[in-house]
Amino acid sequence: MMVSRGEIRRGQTPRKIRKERPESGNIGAKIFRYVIMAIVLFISLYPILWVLISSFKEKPGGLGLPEKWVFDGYITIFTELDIQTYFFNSIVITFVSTLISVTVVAMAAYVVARMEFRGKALVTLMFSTTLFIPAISISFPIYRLLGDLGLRDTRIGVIFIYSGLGIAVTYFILQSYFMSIPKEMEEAARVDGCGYVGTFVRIILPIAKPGLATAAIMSFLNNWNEFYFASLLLKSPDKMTIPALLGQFTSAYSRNLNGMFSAIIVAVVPTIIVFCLLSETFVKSLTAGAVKG
Amino acid sequence: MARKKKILSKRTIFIIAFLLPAVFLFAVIYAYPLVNIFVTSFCEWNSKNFVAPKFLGWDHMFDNYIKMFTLDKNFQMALINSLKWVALTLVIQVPWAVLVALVLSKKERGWRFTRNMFVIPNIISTAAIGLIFLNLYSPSRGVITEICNMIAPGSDVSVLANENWAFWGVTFSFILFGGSSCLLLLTQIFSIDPSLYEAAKVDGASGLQIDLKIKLPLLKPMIGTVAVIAANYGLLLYNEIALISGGGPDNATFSLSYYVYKTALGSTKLNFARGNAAGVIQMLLGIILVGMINWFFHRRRKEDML
Repeated sequence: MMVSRGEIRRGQTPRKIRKERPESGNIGAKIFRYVIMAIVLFISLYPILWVLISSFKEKPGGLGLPEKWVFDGYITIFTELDIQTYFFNSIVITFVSTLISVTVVAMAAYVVARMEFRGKALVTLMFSTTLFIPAISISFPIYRLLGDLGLRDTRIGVIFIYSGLGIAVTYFILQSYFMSIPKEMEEAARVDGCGYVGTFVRIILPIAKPGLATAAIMSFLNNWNEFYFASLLLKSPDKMTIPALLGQFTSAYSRNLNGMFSAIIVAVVPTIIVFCLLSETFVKSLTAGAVKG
Repeated sequence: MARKKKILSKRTIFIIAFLLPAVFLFAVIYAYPLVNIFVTSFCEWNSKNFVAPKFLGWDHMFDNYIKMFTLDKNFQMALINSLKWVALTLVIQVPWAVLVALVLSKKERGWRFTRNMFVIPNIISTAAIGLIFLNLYSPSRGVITEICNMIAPGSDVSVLANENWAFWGVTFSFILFGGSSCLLLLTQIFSIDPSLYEAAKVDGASGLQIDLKIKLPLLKPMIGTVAVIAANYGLLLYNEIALISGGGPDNATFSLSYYVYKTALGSTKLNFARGNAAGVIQMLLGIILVGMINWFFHRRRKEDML
């Protein structure tokens, strides 16, 4: 939220790993460090591994391994529950809202980063204040507004809300990135007769790709995981996203235990796989964005 | 001169056109709802007069707030719980993240793997985390009850049925997951110039002394940033409550967010005005909190703030 600009830039060049390990002499300190690391691994992984193991049990839950490995849960969520539908909805909603949000904010951030005009400070102030407006505090007017527009329980309504949530973070990431691009690039393009829009699309956007990627990853992650508005706005199962579906297991589908455990796994595994494949990119994005949830 | 004017106006059109979509999103999703909750918090507006909120009058304009603070048990509980959760993130989550970051910064074997795994609970959906903990706490299928029965046979602990334990049940579904905070701190530690502590090492300072006396003070601004994010999360806690405890038992695990939802959107006796008033309180608390934390951590380091 309040990362200094220097931070964002520094985060971008991975430091050389120093070979010497200075404090390795002290055995006690070393043991302490490994104990902490073991605790971290345990609390981070055990809950997910427990669900994974439980999902194969005939009667999910409890300690220990399954006596008999069953796959019923996974079969039912794909055949009866149609989890594909929820995935499809999640993908569509997340992709479109991320695209809109990054595009719209990139345009505004570019203008603020590069041009002088009256009310410039006001625009930055406007984006900054959104950090202090909790989404849930203002959810009732939003809910009413979408109702009036006939957008409640529609994917478009959710896309619209997601496009606006988190614009502050996207704005800070992109604005500082645009500022770091040398002005000469645009001046050259302008001399060659490139218009404002042309310069932005053909010169600036390609250079700003890393910044755009960082902003897009943050926005994608938040929208993919968003639970509150999804569960508030989407009531018909054929429009729900994955988090909204998970919310249903506390009430509507609560008796299908194998289904619930399998659904949790199916919901979290794609995120974990993508994260493991692109961990360095993610780490960079998370440190640039600095906001979760 | 005319030529210059034309270029200027083209520029103006460009600026306006590029700002407009973002301003529109801001106006519809933030500005309008913000004004709306603020204005209607001074109105009488509930399920009886759904269509038209009615201003309470200058003498009684704060009635919603006064009733909330003096009569509404759910709100009082929500306020206390939310403040407790803020305090707990500052006392548990932030120090825990600092500790892990300092440990990982020593780059023992497996530090990168540990760091990445620590982030996983922060990047998967909180809906999934909530559901996982709901099951872990369940007496029939969870593990907490089973473990407690091993230690004290027949105790049959049911975390979510007990008022005090349910609060801690919700707390431990998020408080130790400081992975993204840890990432931020780690980046900051790696950016510290080694020459700053090489000298101390030559003078015979231990690793712990270097951590406490040199690295920690240099980390202070980033700890402030992390504290703001964590405290904000504690203040706005909703998903975990909705999925794990549903605010119960009784109202023991209400948070301000959950109160806003229940009061304005999620029950039968709806009171929109009061829900919106609670939203205003929540927002003001957030601003005060951020101000206090920033003041505490950035007193002499203003230039590090964004």
